[in-house]
Amino acid sequence: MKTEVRNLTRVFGKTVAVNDISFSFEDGNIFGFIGPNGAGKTTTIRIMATLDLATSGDVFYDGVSATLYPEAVRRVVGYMPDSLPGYKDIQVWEYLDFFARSFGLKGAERTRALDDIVEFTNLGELRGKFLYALSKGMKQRVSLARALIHNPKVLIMDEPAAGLDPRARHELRTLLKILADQKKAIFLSSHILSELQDICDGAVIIEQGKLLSAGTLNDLLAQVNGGPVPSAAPAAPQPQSGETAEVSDSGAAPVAPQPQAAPKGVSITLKTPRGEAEPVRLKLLEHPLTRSVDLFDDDEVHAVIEGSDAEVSRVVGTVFAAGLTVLSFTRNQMGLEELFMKITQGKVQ
Amino acid sequence: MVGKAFFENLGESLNPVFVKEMRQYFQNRRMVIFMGLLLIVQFIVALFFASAMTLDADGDEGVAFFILIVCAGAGLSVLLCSIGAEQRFAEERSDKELNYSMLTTLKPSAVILGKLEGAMVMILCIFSMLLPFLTAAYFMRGLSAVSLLITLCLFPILVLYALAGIFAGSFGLKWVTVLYFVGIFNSAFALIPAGFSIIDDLMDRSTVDAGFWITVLVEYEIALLLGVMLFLLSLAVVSPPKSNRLLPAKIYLFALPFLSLLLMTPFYLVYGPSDFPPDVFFFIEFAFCFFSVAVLGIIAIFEMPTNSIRVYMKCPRSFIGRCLHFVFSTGFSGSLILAFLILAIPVAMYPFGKLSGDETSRLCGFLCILVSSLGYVVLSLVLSWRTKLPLPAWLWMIIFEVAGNVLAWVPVAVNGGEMHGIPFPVRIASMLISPTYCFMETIDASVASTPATAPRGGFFPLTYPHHALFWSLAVTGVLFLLLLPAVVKAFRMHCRPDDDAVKPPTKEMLKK
Repeated sequence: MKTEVRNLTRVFGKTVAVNDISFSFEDGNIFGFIGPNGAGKTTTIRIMATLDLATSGDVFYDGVSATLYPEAVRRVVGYMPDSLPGYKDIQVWEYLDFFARSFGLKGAERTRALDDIVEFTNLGELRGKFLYALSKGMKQRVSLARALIHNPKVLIMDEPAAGLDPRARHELRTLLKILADQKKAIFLSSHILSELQDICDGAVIIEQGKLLSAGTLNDLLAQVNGGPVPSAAPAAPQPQSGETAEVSDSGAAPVAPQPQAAPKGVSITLKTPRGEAEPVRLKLLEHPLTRSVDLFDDDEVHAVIEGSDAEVSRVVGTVFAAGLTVLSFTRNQMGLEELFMKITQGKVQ
Repeated sequence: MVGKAFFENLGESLNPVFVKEMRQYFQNRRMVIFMGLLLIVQFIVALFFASAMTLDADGDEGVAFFILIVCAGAGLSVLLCSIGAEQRFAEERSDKELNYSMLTTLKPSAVILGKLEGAMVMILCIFSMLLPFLTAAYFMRGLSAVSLLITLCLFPILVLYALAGIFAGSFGLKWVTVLYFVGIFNSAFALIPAGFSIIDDLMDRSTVDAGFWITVLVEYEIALLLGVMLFLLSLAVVSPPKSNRLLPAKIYLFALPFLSLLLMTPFYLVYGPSDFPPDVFFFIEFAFCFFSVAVLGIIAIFEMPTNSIRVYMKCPRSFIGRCLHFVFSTGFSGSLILAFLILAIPVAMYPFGKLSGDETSRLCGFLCILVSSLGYVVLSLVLSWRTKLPLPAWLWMIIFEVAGNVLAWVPVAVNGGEMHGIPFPVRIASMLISPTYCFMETIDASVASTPATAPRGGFFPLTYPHHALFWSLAVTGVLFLLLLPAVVKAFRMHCRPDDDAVKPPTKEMLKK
């Protein structure tokens, strides 16, 4: 199933919460939705989940408009909000049973769906407990179970890992990977970017309601790292051809904006014996492809070289050819967190 | 096996919200404690009455005990099914739980209906718990079997209370909860004496005659009309803000005056024109028009001028269809147009009312109150949407109502508390700006029946109350003209035919 957000705009009074954003993703992928507080993430997610309506633009699920056919969309979308189940006088299984009935599941089908989801989210021992007696992590699991009770094709999650302890976060990651393996499309917002990097195939970054960058994780990191990033590739399966996340302008040419402050070229670090960094710096500066060279202490040189991997190797080769000693040579990899810090400015509307 | 299958099928066909509500009712500790306490207290009271019972054949201990049981049952029903429903629903709203229910295939009507069904079953449960005590009361003497049917009359009132609770809870706002409690508290003062009076009246009957059933039927009919109104308003509150959520309520309000006539027709057929004169129809029609216009006015001040894309896209293609869709859809323009259309019914009927002078004056006064109130609504909307004053329409309305009601009584205060003697134009102006002043003027028979006190002849050959009505209609009409550009703009937006920003999916897409 292809989920397509097209020219989405949401205005509250004079505030433009979401400003003409477009992106798309397909099933089997986990997509992260990143942005500072007040960037418009929750607003976008609420529109995608049919809880709110866009001022203009639309969200399409396999071409079906969420504006015009919210009832049809709700059958294929599961939404896990950032708030937890609030009922006090109801047990876990009754709560899930209510949602199963609300989705029109009947008889044996409902029983099977309940058993499956309870097993999947490991809620077996909590079935008979009242919701008020659950911890935050347990409530998150109930919330996930509720979102999945009707076996949706697309799962939209708003800050699912917020407030969870490391073990619960690990469990959540595992569940998400299983769901992606089951060919579900998962779209989640989170502030824990290191975790997103571990599980996401792609990401959408917004700030002040505007799209800053979107695409597969490799593409995004390549934008700032200056090339493919084999060592920083996500643990999740790589998107196959035709499933690659893309950013489109009404289906036309990609519109992923270039990060404004992103450095041009490849960032490298050369480790030298103590006191021998300066000659290396000077040698690197001689080369026309070198954009910048910085000295750290007296044994480390940071440089940005413009060009492909082969050209970077040639530039470093000139240092060796000059007879200078280099103990190690590493290419600096920028993670999602660094990317986020680089391209966002922390502005709130 | 057949029985088991039947109950399984029955369980599957139940409203999910109803199932959840019943589970919540019976798992709520307060609920269990209150019901247990009710049983214990009733048992102790029954023992007390039984011990005090004399062997006199004319003893009437049963009557007092019966009234106690019925009052306790009604009180507990209001406490658990109205206040309880309000509290739970308000919590659901503030916890956003209702939003998640709306993300399923459940419709908002199923949510309200499920809650109502839950409350009704609980009321029945409470009264069935009281059945042994009702039987005991009967055997304590003083009661006829007919008296026991009084409990039938309580049911629609308690259901209305439950619906009021659901309606108040549907907002999920603290100030609405406060207003609801004030309403419950105040209605108790009106309903308790009225209830005792009805009980007294009905207990005097030894047989079930037609009059008894007519009383019950009228009560049920009024409860039904008001209940549907509350149901549709609750539905509007819980429906997504971008949907056409006031459409059912507006259609119902428009139909209400006609529906009321339909409901009264059987009585006319049963009693004939001598006991059920056409005047009664006139008054009923007038009352329901009054109600519909007032509710539409209140709705209008809370509405926006325009609608959402979703509403526009579902607009019919034909011109007449679009006009009707515009009038009945969410948006203050439609509400105002509907209110004026309904207002036209009593205004047109008014000259044909064959009523005595006093009644004519009173009706005229009530019409004046209605038109002036609508004038306030229009003025509030003009100030809120046509000027740059940053106040919502409902706040303007409150300001005008308070200011108008204070100002109107200043001349009376200056005149030593007397209405007579105040210059005629001042009295007319006071009637225009204050519903309370207008009400007092028109119910004061001495004023209404002395049209000679008002100047006649000249350009306005009208009696005194008619002057007020004429001016209220004129002022409201002029105010509406100020709002007309906004109404026309809303109509144009509603009817734009080429809005194809989002094209509907093909059948193939939907099949996927």
